[in-house]
Amino acid sequence: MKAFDLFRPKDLFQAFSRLELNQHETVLKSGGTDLLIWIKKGLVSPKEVVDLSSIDSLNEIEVKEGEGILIGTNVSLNRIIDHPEMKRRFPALIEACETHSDAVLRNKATLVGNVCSAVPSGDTIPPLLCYEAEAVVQTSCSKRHLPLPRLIIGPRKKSISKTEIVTHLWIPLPKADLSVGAYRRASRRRALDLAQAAVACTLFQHRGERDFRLAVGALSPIPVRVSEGERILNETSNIDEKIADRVADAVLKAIQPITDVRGSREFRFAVTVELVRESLSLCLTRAKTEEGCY
Amino acid sequence: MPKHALSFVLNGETVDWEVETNATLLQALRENGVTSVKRGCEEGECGACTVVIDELAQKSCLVLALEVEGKSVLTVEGLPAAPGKLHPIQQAFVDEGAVQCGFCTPGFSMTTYAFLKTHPNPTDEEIRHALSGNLCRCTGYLSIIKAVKTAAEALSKPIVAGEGGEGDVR
Repeated sequence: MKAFDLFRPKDLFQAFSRLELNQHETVLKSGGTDLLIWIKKGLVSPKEVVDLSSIDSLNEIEVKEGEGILIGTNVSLNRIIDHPEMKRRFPALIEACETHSDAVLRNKATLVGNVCSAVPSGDTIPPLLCYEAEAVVQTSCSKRHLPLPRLIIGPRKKSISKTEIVTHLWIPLPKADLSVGAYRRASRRRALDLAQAAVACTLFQHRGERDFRLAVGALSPIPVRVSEGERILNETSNIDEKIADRVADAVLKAIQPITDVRGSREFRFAVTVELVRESLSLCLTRAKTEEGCY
Repeated sequence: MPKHALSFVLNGETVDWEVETNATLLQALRENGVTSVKRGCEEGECGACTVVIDELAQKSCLVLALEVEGKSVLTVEGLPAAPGKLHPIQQAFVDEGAVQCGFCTPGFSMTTYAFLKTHPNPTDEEIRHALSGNLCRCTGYLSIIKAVKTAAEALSKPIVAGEGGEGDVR
């Protein structure tokens, strides 16, 4: 692995000072399960790695009742999976975390890291889009919330500057009696593989009102919400196969899949139809069987 | 490249090493003689380098050595066993024919060790899920899954007075 300096700050103040000093030659690391591979492959060649995993204050999951859940940059995917409130409120995210890499790597890989890697196939991004998660972006003197569609602007590209750090993710808690969801993806093997196509479908129900959300991954330069598909679902009281087909058509119109080593453009179009049907059907079944789980 | 001081607990004993900033824990362990930790893919895919850090299984090729400062690292060399005996996980792998070339075995053993701590009575499905990040090119996995079940049974047996002590392997 190419040589680099390693800076392990004890707090955010130290991290910001370092970034302001060396901003053009520094990359941030949390879990590092993507970054170390990218360095080994020569995809990035930082002069210095600032390792946020040494900052204890970024290890927390904080539930703010009635408002939202704040997840620190160092929270691993397995800690998300094991957190009872996350499981209850954001089931599609849990399913996506369980699909990511394998049970051992998930001890190291972090949720914020998966978002910040900003790869088109990032498993946790489609459900986070459904849940309208925001990145908490800080500098030494400012703090702002950035919705994920404004953070991720291209494959491996984020909109934030080199002196900013995504310190947390904020997931708002909508008023709901019921939250169900599903994440379905196609990949060549179950563990340790990237998605060929992925669909997240979530449903919040509040006093009889239903709010469906739909997002896809690995099918366009960045994961996206499919608002036309959501409109069809939210305007229909009786969702049958014909409606599911209309939703799948709306998804196909919203994506631009490519042919690459993991699958062809044609395969991706075909499998997307199945993933939409499957995730929608799972969502509806779970809504019937898990009533009151929110 | 300048070296940096690293102090951590390896298999129950504090060690002080000098490592380069870009050294992975895998490299540091092997360079310091802990060769049970195998260098396979070095991309987190194969699990041959799995160790247990503070109770969690981790792939040491994707951990920087300096990240374990002050932490506790366990490799198969440190699996607690009665004098002259193998740890029940290792014994189960031997008994069930779960070792052929043996290259993946230390990694499987450490993943199994961390897994059985939290899942003392695992189902087949839970075992498959837990081991999904460890690859074996010889056995076809069935004997490994059987070995994990056998190890779970052995570890769940009550300790008989006189057999425990240093040899308490839980």
